[in-house]
Amino acid sequence: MEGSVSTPCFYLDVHIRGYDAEVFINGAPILRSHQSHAIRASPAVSEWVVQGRNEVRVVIEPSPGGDQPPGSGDDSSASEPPLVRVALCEGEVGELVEPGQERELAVLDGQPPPDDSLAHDQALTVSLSHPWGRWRWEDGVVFDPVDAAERAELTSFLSGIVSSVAANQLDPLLDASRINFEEVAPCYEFSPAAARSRLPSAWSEIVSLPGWALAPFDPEELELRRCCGGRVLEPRTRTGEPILRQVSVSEGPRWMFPMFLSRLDGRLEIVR
Amino acid sequence: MKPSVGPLDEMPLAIGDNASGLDHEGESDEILVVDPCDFDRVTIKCSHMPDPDPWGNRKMADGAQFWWERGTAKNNLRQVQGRPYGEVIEVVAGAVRYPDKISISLDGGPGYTCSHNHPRITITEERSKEALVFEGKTTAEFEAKSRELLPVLSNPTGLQLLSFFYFPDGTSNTYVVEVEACGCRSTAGDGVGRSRHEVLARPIDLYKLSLSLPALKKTTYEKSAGISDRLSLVTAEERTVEKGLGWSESDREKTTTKKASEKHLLSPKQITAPQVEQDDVHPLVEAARSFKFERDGEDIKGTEAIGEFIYTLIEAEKQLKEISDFIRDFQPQVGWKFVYELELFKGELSCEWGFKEWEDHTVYRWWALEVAMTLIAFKAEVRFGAGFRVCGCTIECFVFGNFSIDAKLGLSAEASPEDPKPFESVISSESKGELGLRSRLGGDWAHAEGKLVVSMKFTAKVQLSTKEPLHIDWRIDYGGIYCHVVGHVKWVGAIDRKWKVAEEKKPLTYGSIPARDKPSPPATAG
Repeated sequence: MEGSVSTPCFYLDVHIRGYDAEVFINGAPILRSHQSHAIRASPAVSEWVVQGRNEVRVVIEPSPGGDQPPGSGDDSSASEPPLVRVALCEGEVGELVEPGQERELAVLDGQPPPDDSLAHDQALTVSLSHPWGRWRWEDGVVFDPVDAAERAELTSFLSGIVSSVAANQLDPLLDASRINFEEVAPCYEFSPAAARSRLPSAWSEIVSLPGWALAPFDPEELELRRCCGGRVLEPRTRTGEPILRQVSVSEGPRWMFPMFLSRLDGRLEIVR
Repeated sequence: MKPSVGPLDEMPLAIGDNASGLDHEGESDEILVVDPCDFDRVTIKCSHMPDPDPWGNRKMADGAQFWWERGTAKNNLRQVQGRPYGEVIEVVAGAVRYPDKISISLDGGPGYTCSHNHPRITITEERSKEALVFEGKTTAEFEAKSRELLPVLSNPTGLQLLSFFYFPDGTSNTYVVEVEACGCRSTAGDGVGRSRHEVLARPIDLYKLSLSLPALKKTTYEKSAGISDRLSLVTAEERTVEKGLGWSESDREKTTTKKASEKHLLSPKQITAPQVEQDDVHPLVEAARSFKFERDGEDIKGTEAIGEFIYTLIEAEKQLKEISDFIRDFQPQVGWKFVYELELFKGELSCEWGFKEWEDHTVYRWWALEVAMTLIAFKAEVRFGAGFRVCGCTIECFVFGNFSIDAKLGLSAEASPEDPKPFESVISSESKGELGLRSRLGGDWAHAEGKLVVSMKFTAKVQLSTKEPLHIDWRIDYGGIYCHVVGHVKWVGAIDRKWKVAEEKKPLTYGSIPARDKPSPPATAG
């Protein structure tokens, strides 16, 4: 961490039990929960918070088979009642907020409808301000989900990124992430240069992971999930995994690199 | 053992006062005069017929009766399928106090006109061979006593001691009742002459083991550390102990110790774990004195070993508390907290046993068990810092949350002659609850992808039979804390891997009530 001036940090305090659900802020996916086990986590989301009205949404997916009651997973906490509680909180970068001491700005304390076999979502909105100005992705061009040419362009872009990473050449990925470093690094008291250096610094450790091999890029498996009103795109596989990832390993650590794209000034940029 | 009834051809045939005629191998042609001497029926009664309480349920108001029909022995003893066949008359009787008065009476028959002081009733204590002889009377009484239980154990374990007092075989006493007459009647061929019976005196003592344990204690171990500013570190620790026997609110004692200090520019290693103060006397040691082991309502002296199982509970408490020790090893700069409430074998337990007379002529091994206990109720709140290393970065986290485990046992069981099967009850319980991860605010964070729980399992087996005294074997297994964590490092990626937060320990602690082994009393209890 760098710097000594306190920097605000927006984060979600997520506590979900008994549901397959996904948490979004302003349309950006942050975290998934599984019915099989409770999740309590506090992801930082400063880079997705916008000036003014912000939306936190929890999308609850239908139970597998439609007849499995919420909370019926094999978790030992399954006897606890199902729960969806997501709070948007504010703290300071570097702060370790004790449970119960959160400064909650808004709380989504949902009571799901009785029929949990149906998908449904819950959302709240809250007005916020932050010191980082307007994010570039807010002005991104809305992606067209049926534009074949755009898909071909995206496929080519992503294929190039994956190919270069597979060849241990990180610069194309890092160069495409320039806006990510410039915008997000200050949120977490990093300089853009320090942010850019993190992946190269960790790369030798990543490629030393047991069973290391980069998953090949498969255009047939590519799913382009539109986020943030279509101004951001999450490239992922049909199973929801990032396209930049280590191949599956039977056990042991596994590396994945989620990324989010926007079209800015006509160029595809990795903005998050 | 069956009573022996002497067939007529085995009996010395008494024919008149002068039986010598037979001694001359029939040379005499005198007319023999037969003097009838015989009985029809032998009745043996114990003093609890028909007033059984509190010694059992004996209902044989007419006593045990033996008679003969055409040379065949008959009796009124009930034989129940599934129970040992027997014609031994069993009674309960004390070794010193409460002897059982046994009466024998002979009825029927032609009378006793012989010159041999018949009938003759001989009662012989089998062990000592001492005999009481009643001649010329058709009734007799004697006091049946069991034998004293002699203390022979040296430094026994609790279970050994309990077994020693559990239906001790060596305390039974057998009396042989022999009835003798000439067996002569006016009509030859259907005389009785001799009858043999046994009376087995079992100890009359009723034993009672009772225990009433209070809750252990609510204890808070806490050490918080926060960066109050960039130059100093404030630490505070608090320990609260509530102790007492729990009989009443006024009987409880509460001690609170607080310490606070501000240290400047401390490195994490300079922060030492808080020193836990020692209690002088553990409340359970006090509680152990509430344990009662009685025989016929009076304390049995010298049986303190049965109460020594308390030490295993104290050890269990110590082991559970030591779960908190691993917490101190993690990232002390973020502080830690371990609050727990523990109840271990809190409640009431009562076990009684002794020989009891049944409705018929038998005695059975009676026991009754009443348990209303919280075997374990352990609630803990934990919070500690831990570093999750991923991609060359360490993500500092709080692990926090609650977990609990509880098992209760409420039962009432009693042995009956019809159901002498061993009693066994197994109780098993696993911990519930969930832990959360809270990362230091920033671009790097982690979350658990899967179970994040403190794994703990409690099992107990309660066993009791007519052969073995009550014993409860229990154990607590601690599965540690394992989880699958996804660490998100900004601009580096996400890595998921298994994270062993705390080592397992199986078993964490175990014990038995009463103790199977000789436990070491703790010098002090923390």
